[in-house]
Formats: sequence, C-alpha cells, structure tokens
Amino acid sequence: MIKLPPGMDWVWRHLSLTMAIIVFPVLFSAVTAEVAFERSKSLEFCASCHVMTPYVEGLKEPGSELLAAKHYQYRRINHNQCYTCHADYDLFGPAKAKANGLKHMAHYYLGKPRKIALYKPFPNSHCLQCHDGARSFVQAEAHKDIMEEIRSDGMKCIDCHGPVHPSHVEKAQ
Amino acid sequence: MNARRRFALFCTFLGTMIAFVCLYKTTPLSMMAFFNGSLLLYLLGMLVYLYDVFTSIQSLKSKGR
Repeated sequence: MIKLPPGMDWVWRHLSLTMAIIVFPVLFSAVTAEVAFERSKSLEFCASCHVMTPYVEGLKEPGSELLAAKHYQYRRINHNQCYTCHADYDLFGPAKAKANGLKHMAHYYLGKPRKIALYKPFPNSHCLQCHDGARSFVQAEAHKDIMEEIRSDGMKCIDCHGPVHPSHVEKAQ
Repeated sequence: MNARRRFALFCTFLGTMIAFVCLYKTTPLSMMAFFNGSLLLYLLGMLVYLYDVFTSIQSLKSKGR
C-alpha cells in the first residue's frame, strides 16, 4: 500500500469528498437539467399535465379546423409543437419559457392551478418566424395590403386565422 | 468519517437518486422533484461539507499543524 506523506492523507480525503459532494453534483445537475429541459419541449410532456388535455385533444381531433390542429395534423411543425409556437424567439425567449414552465409545474403540484391564459397577447412574430418570406404568405392577396400591419403586430394573425385552441371556440360561443 | 460528512454524502446520494429518476423518465413530477428536491439536497450537502472543511481547518490551525 502506498504510504502518503504526513498531511497528504487529509488532503487526499478532502479532495475525494470535494469531487463527490461538490464537483459531481454540479456536473450531474447541469446534464440532468439540460436533458430535462430538452425533453420538456415535447408535446407528450405538455400533455402529461391533465389541465392541458383539452388543448392536446384539440390538436388531434380528426378534421379539426382549429389553427393549432391544422399545424399539427398537416405536420407544419414536426416536433415540439407547443414549444415552437409558445416560446418567444428573442434572445431570452427559451430561458423565459423554461422559467415559466417551472412556475406552471410548481402551481400544478404545490399550489392551486390558475386558469390557463397567455402572459401577453400572442405576438405575430411567432407566426412570422416560419411564415414570413414564404411564397404562400407573401403572395396571398389578402396579405398584400396589410403586410406592414401584420409585421408590426398592428393586426393579429389569429384575428383572421383563429380559432387556435378549443378554449377559443368556447370563448367565442 | 464524521457525522457531518456522512450527512453531506447522504444528501448527495439522495439528490443523485432523484436526478436519475428525472433522467430515466422526464415527467412534470420527476422534473419538479429534481428542481425542488435534488438541487436543494445537493446545496445542503455542499454547505454542510464546506462548514465541515472550515471547522476542520480551524481545528488544525489551533493544534498548530
């Protein structure tokens, strides 16, 4: 057995403990958080909270005319359908979506779930992220005269293309 | 190994087990458990261990080693 010089056993013991109690948890939590956040973007993850059931059922309803259902059923968005439309596209958008998601989960499990509502009116920039520049959008007769208003959020896409989710249908009725 | 170090290691172990569940199957519940359980346990373990190191250094100093 290797005999450590005096004092070295103390250093060696603390080095091992530092690795186990400080370094390992920092690295392991970073990996877990990243994997969990990535998986939490999926539709299945959102659907696992029962408050989201009507929204997910609305997406999958055969022949539905809801905007979200058309995006889902025609595979206009291939993966992470909820996240793609509901996360902001600015610098802090993904971080903000993650923080809000954690807040929603805390409300769901620890507190009283509140009524589901958007934090702010749905911005056109979320739609334009994919549609702007697309031939079907730019060349559409209905868009030509109001293009600037659409781009400046003066006129909302969902005013004409809604309803988006079943809750909007209920509200409208 | 003293009680504080054992406690810190236990917290780290428990935190790791919860994190493993979240890694194995990420659900809202396992994710909540990770963010509210694992991270706090890790933090608690680190603080207890750092306190132990600090007191250990103080005692070595007082012994003049």
